[in-house]
Amino acid sequence: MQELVAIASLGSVYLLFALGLSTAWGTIGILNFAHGAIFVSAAYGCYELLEVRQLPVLVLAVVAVLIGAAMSLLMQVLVFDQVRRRASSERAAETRILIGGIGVAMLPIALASHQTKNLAFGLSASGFEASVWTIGGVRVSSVQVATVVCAVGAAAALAWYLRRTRAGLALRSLGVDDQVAALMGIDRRRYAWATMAVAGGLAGLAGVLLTLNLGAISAESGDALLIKAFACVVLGGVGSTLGVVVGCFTLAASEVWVLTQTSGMWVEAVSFGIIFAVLLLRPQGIFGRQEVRRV
Amino acid sequence: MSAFYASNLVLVQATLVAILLALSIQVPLRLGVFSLAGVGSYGIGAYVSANLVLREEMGAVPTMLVSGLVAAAVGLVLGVVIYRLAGLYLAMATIAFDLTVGVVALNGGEWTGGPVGLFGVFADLTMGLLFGTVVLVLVLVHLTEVGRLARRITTVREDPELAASMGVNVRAYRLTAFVVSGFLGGLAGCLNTLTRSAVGLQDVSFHLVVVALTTIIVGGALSWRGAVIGAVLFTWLPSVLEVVGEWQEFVYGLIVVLAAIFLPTGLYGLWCSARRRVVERFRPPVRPRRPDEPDVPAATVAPEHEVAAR
Amino acid sequence: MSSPSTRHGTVPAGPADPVDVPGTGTAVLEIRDLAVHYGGVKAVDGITMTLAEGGISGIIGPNGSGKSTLVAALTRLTRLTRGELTVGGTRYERVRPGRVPGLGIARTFQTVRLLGDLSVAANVQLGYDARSRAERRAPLRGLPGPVAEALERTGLTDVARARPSELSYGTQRRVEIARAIVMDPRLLLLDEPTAGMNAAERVEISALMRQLRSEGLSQLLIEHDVQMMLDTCDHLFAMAQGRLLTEGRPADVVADPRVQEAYLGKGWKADAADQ
Ligand SMILES: Nc1ncnc2c1ncn2[C@@H]1O[C@H](COP(=O)(O)OP(=O)(O)O)[C@@H](O)[C@H]1O
Ligand SMILES: [Mg+2]
Repeated sequence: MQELVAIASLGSVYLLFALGLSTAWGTIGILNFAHGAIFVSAAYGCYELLEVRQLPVLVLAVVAVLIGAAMSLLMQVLVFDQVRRRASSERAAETRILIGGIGVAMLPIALASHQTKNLAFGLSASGFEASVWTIGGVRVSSVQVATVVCAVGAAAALAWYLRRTRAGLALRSLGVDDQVAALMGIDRRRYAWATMAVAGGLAGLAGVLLTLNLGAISAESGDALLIKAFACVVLGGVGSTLGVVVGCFTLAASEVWVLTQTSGMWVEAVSFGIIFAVLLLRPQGIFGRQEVRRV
Repeated sequence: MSAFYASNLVLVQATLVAILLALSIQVPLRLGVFSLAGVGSYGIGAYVSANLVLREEMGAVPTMLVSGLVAAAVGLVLGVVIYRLAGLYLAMATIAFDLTVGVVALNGGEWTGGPVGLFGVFADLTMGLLFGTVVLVLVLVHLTEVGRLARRITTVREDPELAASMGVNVRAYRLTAFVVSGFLGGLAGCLNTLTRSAVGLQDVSFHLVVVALTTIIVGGALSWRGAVIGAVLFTWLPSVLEVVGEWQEFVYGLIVVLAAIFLPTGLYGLWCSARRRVVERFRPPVRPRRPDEPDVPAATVAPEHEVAAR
Repeated sequence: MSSPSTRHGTVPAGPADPVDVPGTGTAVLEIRDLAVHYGGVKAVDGITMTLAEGGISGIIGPNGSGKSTLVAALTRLTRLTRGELTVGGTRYERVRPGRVPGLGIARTFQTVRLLGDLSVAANVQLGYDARSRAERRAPLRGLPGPVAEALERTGLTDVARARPSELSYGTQRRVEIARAIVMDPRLLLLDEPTAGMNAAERVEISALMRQLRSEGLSQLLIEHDVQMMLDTCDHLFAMAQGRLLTEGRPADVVADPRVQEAYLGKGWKADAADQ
């Protein structure tokens, strides 16, 4: 039972993080390698803010969302848009967006590592103490509940938005064929900005929640999370919100299971195994649409 | 000169290793295979060579060969499994491979030394051997950048379907990319272990992916000269720019971003296009042929019969 | 041009007579019950045809009738749903695409596919590179003879050092043709080689094709230009919706009411607008 709580909260952190990654990739075609850096930076930003001023944890969450959204938007405007504008072909752009993402991720991480001297940092300065309830022998903390609520809420809202609104339809049409979408008068840049801002905001929220959950994170934790999120997205199927949800909780369950079964540090390899298995056996993912993913 | 050489020996060695590591990413990239598996091969080579020297007391040359071949064999298996994946999916799958090697190294017990690594790996590697190996590799790579092979490689990268129509066995080329990348990565890892006489988790980290990719993106992805330029630049930059020191990562990140946006072909590509522009100035301009030029065979078809003339 | 020897035998070059060259009577390529389906789209749906050795066969048909898909199937670039392919007596529907040039089949693409980073000469050399080792001579300096010859025959010598992007669309198409003929094939597949060319350029290409025929090269030509097909082809096939409508002497096929309907019914205007 305690494992179920662990799976739910871990899966929810993955979900908050992966939702934005998946949506940006599935609609505007940007696999943002700096998504992990946004996640860390938002948490780090809150940490620095707390050094200056005492703030309640709810405010911190809002700040984290804003930091994440701002960083993501900035990356889109200053890097990805620029690469797209100059690239000769979609394929060339894809590669260079990946590389640009790797580069831009180094900037805030270098800053944070420098300031924290590579030590883990937390948000204890907020004075926030999570309440812990024991229900039938199972311990649940308020942070875990908040994480699950946020993640499931965000996924549901995003799914509703993409399926039921005109703007969502326009966004999805960008993912299917952006040239046709352009002919239909859809302004790709505007949608790209909005998508990236939302994706960054979610990553920022995930950053604060995970930090509260674990007590502290290090500046390097973004990279590992990025690969895990990639595994979740690939497993569920790019562009499918339900897919990401299933992917995240599957990964969380597998990791928790491996953690209880082995004593070693193999848990990190679970996501890599999933990536390989999915790309080989069902490259479109569980819920993904059939697309050209092979050459 | 010799004082300079002695005090900078470590940097020279690091540069040579960095060139090989960069090539292990560049060679597949030139074939349109966005594989970053060379970094995993580097880790394999690093640990295999340590074991060969520590357990078998092998000499430098056989250690290099065996390390390279083991990594190449792993590369081949990996290639057979994933060579059909496209673009980003391939990149991510190979990053997963790299990190898997890292997890294995962490959990490898006495074979890898776990988080501590392995130490005291001394073999008879001389500077001449190191230098000679890198030069040999560069010559071999250069041979793939001229003439028929170069044209066919370019075609496989730019238009695989066209390449097949030109008689190229695209699958074999792509698989070869994995094997060569594996060998070069393994060799680089081996040489790193032998020059530093130690191996640890830092030799299989994601950071190396960034380093290798950065090297060729900034230097240039389509020629070994790009790998050399990048390797020299990034190995020597910190020692030249003292200020960079603690902000090294930040400066590197900035350079990568700028290169991704403004330098699609890297520094070497920039040099090439500049040279081309100069040559062009001295070449007579291309004269578009006008349809009424005399070498048209006259009176084959009267144009008014053209039904579908557009 | 003198009569060059090809690897498939020397054929005396004579004046090309469009009507009177029926080929040698043997088949260079046989297609039996070929089908290519993309999901529910039956792009090619059960085609059987035989191309005569040494002749120019043509295919007409409105856009979307499956002509390009047929060529892709013949060069093994697309997966066959079913069917048999035989070239020069060799079954080849299972070989990988890279071996098709070795069987003596070369092609051009409907959309120009040249490498922008290479010069015109290097693009043409790609075709020469496809020849087997025994048939290649790489001179120390300059271009191999056949490459220079192919450039000459397609009127590209002046622009050999230019990049494709500096050329007009029609000229780029000629580079495609040069790249195919320098492969020294026994069968040349041309998918709308003159699209984007003006009338005079088409006349040149038509003349080149007949010249090649007189040297013994079999060809399959896909074009919308009916007059050019009448002037160039020995035998004509008409396709519509993935199937063969009819075949026969070009004039008869063009006059066939079914063919006229297939074109005029919906394809004709769309065709003209398409370019
Ligand atoms: N890769 C593909 N996937 C799905 N449908 C295709 C594909 N290629 C061609 N088609 C369809 O097959 C039909 C025939 O196309 P094509 O062979 O290009 O015709 P043509 O060359 O005669 O104009 C068209 O309806 C086209 O949409
Ligand atoms: Mg066509």
